[in-house]
Amino acid sequence: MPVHGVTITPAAMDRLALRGRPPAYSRRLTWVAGGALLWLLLILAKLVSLQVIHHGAYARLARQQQELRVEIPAPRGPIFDRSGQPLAISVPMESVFVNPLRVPDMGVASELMGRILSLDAGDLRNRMRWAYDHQRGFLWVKRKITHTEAEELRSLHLEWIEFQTESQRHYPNGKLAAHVLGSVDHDERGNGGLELSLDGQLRGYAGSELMLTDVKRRGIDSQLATEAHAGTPLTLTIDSRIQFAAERELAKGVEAHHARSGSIMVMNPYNGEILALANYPTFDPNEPPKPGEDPFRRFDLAVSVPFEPGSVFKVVTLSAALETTNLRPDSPINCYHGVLRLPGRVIHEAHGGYGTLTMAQVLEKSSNIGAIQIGFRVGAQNMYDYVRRFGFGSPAGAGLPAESGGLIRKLKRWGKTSLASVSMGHEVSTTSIQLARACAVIANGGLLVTPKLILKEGSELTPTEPAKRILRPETAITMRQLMEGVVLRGTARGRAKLEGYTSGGKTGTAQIFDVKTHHYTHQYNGSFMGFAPVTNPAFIIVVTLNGTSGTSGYGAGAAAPVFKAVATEALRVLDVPKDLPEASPEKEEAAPPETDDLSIADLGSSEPNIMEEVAASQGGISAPAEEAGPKVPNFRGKTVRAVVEEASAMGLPLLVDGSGIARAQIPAPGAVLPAGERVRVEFAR
Amino acid sequence: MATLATYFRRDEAVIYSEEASTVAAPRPAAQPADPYRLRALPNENVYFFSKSIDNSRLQKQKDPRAAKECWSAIGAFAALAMLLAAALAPSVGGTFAGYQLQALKQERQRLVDERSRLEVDEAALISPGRLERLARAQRLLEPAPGQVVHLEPHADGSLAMNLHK
Repeated sequence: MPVHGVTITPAAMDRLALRGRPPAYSRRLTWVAGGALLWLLLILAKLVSLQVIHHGAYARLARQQQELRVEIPAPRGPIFDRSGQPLAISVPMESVFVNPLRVPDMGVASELMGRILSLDAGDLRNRMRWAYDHQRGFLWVKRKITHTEAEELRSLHLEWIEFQTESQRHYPNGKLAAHVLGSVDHDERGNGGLELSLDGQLRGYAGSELMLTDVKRRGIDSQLATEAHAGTPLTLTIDSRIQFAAERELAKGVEAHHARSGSIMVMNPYNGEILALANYPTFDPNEPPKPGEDPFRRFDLAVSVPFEPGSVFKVVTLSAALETTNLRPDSPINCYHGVLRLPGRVIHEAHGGYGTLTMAQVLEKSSNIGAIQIGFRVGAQNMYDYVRRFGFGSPAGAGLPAESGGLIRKLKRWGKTSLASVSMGHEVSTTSIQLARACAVIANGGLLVTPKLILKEGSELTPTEPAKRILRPETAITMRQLMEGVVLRGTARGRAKLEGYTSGGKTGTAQIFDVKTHHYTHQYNGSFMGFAPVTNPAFIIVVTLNGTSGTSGYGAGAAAPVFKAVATEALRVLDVPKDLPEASPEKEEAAPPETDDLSIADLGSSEPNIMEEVAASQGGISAPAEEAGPKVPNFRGKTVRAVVEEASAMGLPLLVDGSGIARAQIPAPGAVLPAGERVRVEFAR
Repeated sequence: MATLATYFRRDEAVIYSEEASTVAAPRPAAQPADPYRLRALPNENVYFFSKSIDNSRLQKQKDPRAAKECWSAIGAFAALAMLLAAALAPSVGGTFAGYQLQALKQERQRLVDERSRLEVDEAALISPGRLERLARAQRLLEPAPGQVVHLEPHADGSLAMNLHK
């Protein structure tokens, strides 16, 4: 049979077995079809098993294999100063860990990782061995390693070395504003300062996303599982330049006077914004506390540690007197020649004695007896009320942790001489921040402000607490003038006067009470609180040095120079216009330390009067010295420029108020300008 | 074309071709196959049957209808393939975009981390303490009182040289 030109023989056809077998072929076909059907059924059954019955389990296995849960980092909120300079930032860092149960050779592994991570290989091997013996599947090798170390470890491509991204808090300025910022622990939880009190806002909450990966664990797609909440950035009211100057000058002051510690605050008196807050000794928040380290250097003394303020408190006494009595700055006050007998107690003036002083001179010379006399005129109830009104006895509310409210005894617990003690700043304890608040009342015209440290949370400005009026404006202005007198003629003469600016303040020196011996020691809390310029204060500064000794450790000698240095820097930084000619005609001689104030108090009548121990020369009445100086010319009708030129030519310090033509002047033309005074000229158009 | 049959049963193919040639020219009786030889597979003579075909004498006749059907089939398959490609393209594109997106996300995170590190470095470089050390090293001093002169503007707004007027 020819097929396509090829002939197939019957024998070949037989071999092909294509003939005579239809029934068998059909049967086999049936079997094959049946087998195929069975095969299909089996596949179908398997599919049902996979896709329906065991769907959940297999889907879970698939997810485990294909999905990767990736953490979305949420760093802790940074902290900036008021000009946007970072004070604290969190930076992601790698931490390395191993599963000791999967480490093939612990000896080699510890040598390898120890060399790269600068760890003791033996110690690491022991740790891994311990974890292995206790069937622990996780062991930190080293946390927060450097970028270089991480890259070097990754280049080994060892699957049992694993990494986790953590966050490391950095304080790039080191010790700057350490007590304000505080610090964090290893898990970035705040353990001091604002890091602690605002931990809730600062802390970020990491989120996660499910990432679909390929066989090489490369991400293909991702789905948000938990949203990340980054910490809120905080902008502080602190100005890092003023803060730096404050810390530098405070450290100089403490070391120069061999004080135990010190604190300083710079505050805007109008809104309570704290421009600088520093303590000494201080610490570096980048370094965690070491075992056995003295915790004292981490105390925020300005906020948490109250002390007897001493004579700076006389500002409160005189303010209360101006408000509640008919006493005026020129009212005479009998100072009893330096000795005042009280029930069970004799008060001596710390240095010399005065006969009759005006109220202004009581503050200038910081007469204890004069302050007590004024306090008696005010009365206990009024004194207590005004002490409370000035914010003493309750926390100032700056938002820092462990803020002390100081100690003010209730009126019913006052003793027979408590009014006298309180009048000169004893039997009360205050913190520096409370003193700053009280000083702000004088500087801003009689309003009690709440100290403020947070300028912005995120991009939102934080609200300022409304100020509360506690003094009449005229009282505050009068107090400003009295405090200026302290700088010009009083205990701070030559120590707190600023070049080109007017300033006012009050010195204070309080003996430190020894609770063991129940005696006052010869160590002092030397303080100064002041402001500048006088007419429109840009800031107030409170300086306290604790544990000074000797006359140089009094407030005027120890704290006032710190005020002067910091105020000079702050005025420059804040670009405050000068209100005096820059070059002083001559250097003023500083008041001798003997004339510095020193307020002494004791615990009560049963206790020895430490006052008696103070060497105090019983001088006579200090009559006001006859004033001598240049006569003031008539500036009226002249322009600002002409007045400035004439005053400069005569070497007269000048205070220019307004613009245009000179309309009035103090002192009047022809009057003698007392030393340290300046001529105020009011201009108008 | 080499098939499995021609590969495995080359010897039989030779025999068949020889048998076919005997039709034209008879030869002496061929050597009988070994009856005791075991077959490798049942019916292997069917499944492994191969024959040589000589198509040299065939002439391909043009069949426009078949050609048209063929082209129609090709077109249909091409269209189907394009539709399939179009249907799959978004998914494939999405996958590739996903790779790119994840890579970019990682890059972004790396850059954010890097920026944080650089901010720390920058802040340390411009910290007041360091600047003061540098200023001291370069003997930069604060101006003495009277050294700074504040110029008062003229009526025309000029500031310079007014000290000499």
